[in-house]
Amino acid sequence: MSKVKLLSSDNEEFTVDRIVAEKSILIKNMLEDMGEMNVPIPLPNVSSNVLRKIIEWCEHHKNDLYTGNEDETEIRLKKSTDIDEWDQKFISVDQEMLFEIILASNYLDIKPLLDTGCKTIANMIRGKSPEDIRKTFNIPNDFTPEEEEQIRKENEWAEDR
Amino acid sequence: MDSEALNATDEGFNEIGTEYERETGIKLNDLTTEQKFDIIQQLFSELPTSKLSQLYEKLGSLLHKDFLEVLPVEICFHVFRLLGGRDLVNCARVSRSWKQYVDDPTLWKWLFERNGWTLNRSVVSEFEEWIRIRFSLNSSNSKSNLDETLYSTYMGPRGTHFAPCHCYVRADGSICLNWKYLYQQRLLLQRNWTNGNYVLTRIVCSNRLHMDSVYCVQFDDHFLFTGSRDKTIRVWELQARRLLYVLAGHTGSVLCLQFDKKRNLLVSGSSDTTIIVWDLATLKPLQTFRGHTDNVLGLVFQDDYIISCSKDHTIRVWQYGAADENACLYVLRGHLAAVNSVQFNSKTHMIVSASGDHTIRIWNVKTGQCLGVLHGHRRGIACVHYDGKNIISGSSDLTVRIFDGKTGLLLRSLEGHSELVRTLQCDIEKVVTGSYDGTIKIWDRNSGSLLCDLGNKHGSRIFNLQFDHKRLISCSQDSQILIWDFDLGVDGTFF
Repeated sequence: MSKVKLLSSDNEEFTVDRIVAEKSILIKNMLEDMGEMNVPIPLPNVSSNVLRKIIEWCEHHKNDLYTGNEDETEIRLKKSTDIDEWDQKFISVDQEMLFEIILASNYLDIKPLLDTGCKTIANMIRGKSPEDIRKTFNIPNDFTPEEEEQIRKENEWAEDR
Repeated sequence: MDSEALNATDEGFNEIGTEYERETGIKLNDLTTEQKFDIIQQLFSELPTSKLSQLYEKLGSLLHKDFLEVLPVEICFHVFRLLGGRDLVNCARVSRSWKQYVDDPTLWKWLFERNGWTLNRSVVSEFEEWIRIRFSLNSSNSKSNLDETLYSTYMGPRGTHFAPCHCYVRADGSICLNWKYLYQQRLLLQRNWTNGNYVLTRIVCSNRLHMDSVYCVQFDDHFLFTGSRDKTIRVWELQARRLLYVLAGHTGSVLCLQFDKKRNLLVSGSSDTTIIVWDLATLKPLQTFRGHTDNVLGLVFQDDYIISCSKDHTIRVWQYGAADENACLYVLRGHLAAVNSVQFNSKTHMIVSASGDHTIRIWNVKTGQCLGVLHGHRRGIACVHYDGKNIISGSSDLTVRIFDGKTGLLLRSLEGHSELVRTLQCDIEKVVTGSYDGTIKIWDRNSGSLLCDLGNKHGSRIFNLQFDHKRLISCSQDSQILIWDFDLGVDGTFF
């Protein structure tokens, strides 16, 4: 099986199976455009510790089918909470790494991983009070008490009745 | 001071670090991550709890970050799109920047449409026209007074009322629909249905109106059409609840009807075995289809097809506009008893029929071929709904059953009526059923649970019902027409 070399932003070289690297649509398109390359593909937006994680994910999912059509996107969005067990474990990382993985999967165009990352953030918000959300993401409350009360009233309709 | 230490300070190394380096001769920068970690662990064990808790707070701010500041806009929207209305409202209460993100109309539009909800298109285009007018006035810069008047309220030609709360002004000054508001109003409307909040208007048909049982109803924003045992069809002005016209021509009870707004036509089926196409401009019959040998119990008028079902056990497919009035395209035979109800889906080209022989049959409209038979009910079936996704039927076995539209598998059985389920209609979220037990019930289409029992307000057998976003209209054996308005306390301008 043909191999592909990837070069992280901090100049660490990774050698992976082509099928693994092609989980990234960006790399897949590059390989299709340029054919076999002996020189490593530079990924200036991805550091080695993030790239290592991304490769781990691609290895695990290398045989998944993904057509990438819009209908499928809608279906995946509807099943917004479920993340498969392996992915859940994979994505149990600190917030910085989570955001890095999301940014890298966006750059590398790996939609299912991007989805998993976004779902993970959504799950950190779901069912939480505004105060709990602030704590989760370390956000200062910059509303005045009056504003806060007004916004609470404006949004009362959303409570179950 | 040696130059190296000076440089280090200039580069912003913290003081403790440089002190530590001077005293121990170890440069922090030369340490590996593992070594740093070991040192910190050692230090931790020597710190008092008060200092540790300070560190804990500092660590928290290092580990927890506002993703809105880290991730690109489109990814943040992707995250918000995964949440429901209630969570989004909590997000809007987090901080100013979060509120700005979450109040964005595109997000709420997406949420609105994800629920399968729709807007009244003609009102939306009227709104857009209003915005255009507002903009042209704005750019002329001279009629700001008039502009302000327009902005405060606006009465449309259909009595629609636009208000500032309908508009969302974007940062670039452009105006769009306030989808968050629309989402809110639509949610409140839905709650009215599930909580049974309605205003009831009763039209009791005296001699002057219908003289007998009302078998069928249909309505749109302006008109209400009813067919009766008194052989007539009546056209009512819906808002004023006023009788406008009487269509007389059938020689038997009018059992079913369907009107077509675009073509300004109405098609009716009768116990006189005929189907009449009425021109609503002249109020005269255009065409009469003869062929059934018994009561015409149900019909569908769609595209150029008129599909009728009869007590004579057959379904007939007629071509609207055909030169030969009495030639129908197909006679679908197979049912062993009266065919009580028929439905057609132009996307799948399938006809679904329900019969007193306890079965539902599925037919291809293009070939007239019977594609399948569903044996899901234990008694005769009075009504059926088919939208491609599901077949939903009501029977004298007292149940309403939901089948998969593709496989025919029975998905759910809704139990609660105590007599024959005579009529039903569905939208994406609910099923509304009317029964000979006099009650109307609202069910959750997905779970099959009873959302609301509207009770027995007719006091007699319910023959037919129809609903839209805002209202339900039902008719019954004792010649009453009930109008149930569910938009109590809701701004239904756009629905």
